[in-house]
Amino acid sequence: MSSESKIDLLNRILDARLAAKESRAGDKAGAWAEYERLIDEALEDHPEISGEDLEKAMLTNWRDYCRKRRRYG
Amino acid sequence: MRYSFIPADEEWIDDGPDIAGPGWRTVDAETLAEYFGRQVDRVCYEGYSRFAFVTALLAIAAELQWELQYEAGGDGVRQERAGDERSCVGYRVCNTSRFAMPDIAQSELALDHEDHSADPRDWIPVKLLCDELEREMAEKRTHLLQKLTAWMVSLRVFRRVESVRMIDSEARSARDDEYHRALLAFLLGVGELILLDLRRHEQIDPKWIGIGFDDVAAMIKELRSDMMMWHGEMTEARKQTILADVFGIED
Repeated sequence: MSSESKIDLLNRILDARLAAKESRAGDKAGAWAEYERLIDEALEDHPEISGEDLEKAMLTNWRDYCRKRRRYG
Repeated sequence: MRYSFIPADEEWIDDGPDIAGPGWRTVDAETLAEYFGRQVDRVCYEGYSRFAFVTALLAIAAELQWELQYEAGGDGVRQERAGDERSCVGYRVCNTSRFAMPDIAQSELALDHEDHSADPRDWIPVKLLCDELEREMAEKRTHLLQKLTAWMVSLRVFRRVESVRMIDSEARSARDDEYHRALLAFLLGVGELILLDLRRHEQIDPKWIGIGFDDVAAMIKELRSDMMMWHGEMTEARKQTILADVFGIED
């Protein structure tokens, strides 16, 4: 996977999490499943890393990410 | 006292001057009390439990405080009404189209609290909701779907306070972190119990209140993820290693 593709995947994961967070209660399962699917995709070549660890590493800057998304759409 | 809290489509309200365009009305305290009285009558008449009623009132109180904070943030529209000594503030905030709020002292709010006065957007409403939820869980007599509804209302209020205090606020404090962790843990625990009950009672389907079992399960997963994200521990070195390995990000 190229470096651009990797960054693109990271952005898609973050977008998916925000979409899941903001989804209506009745749409939560589908939105969260998409987020988990992308996590699995990112970890395909990294079986030594757990999903929880990846989430924690990715979401360290979650607050800033949310604020930027609200500001810039 | 002066404030408005009246949806414009309520037919029984006397005509009053609009303070922020169509859909906004100004009323005095007596009218407001009458409006609340009618809501109480309606809730009692429809047979909702005390808990549902308290939940609704707390949610309203929480929203009132958020509206006030919007005023402090400068998003409100202040209009002095000619020929009237009262001044009012009107709001159009997010999806809340039913409020028009004037100046009101924090001490006049039902949820005022000495620690709470410093910042009206705080955790007290969520804490009160969780206290009620805890009591209902302990009594073990409420219908499962009612518990689920109460839990979802509490979670919704929690999310709103979380958004304000943990994400939007420039002055996130240690107290915010403590309340967030404690209330998140509580809501996660109660959610897990409700999920277990839902799994056990196949004849009780949450679809009757508009969501599926999988949606509830996803909400629990999100809470678990949030706990790990906000309050989990990871060294900076470990984080950099993971981001470099998986996404090729070098700090």
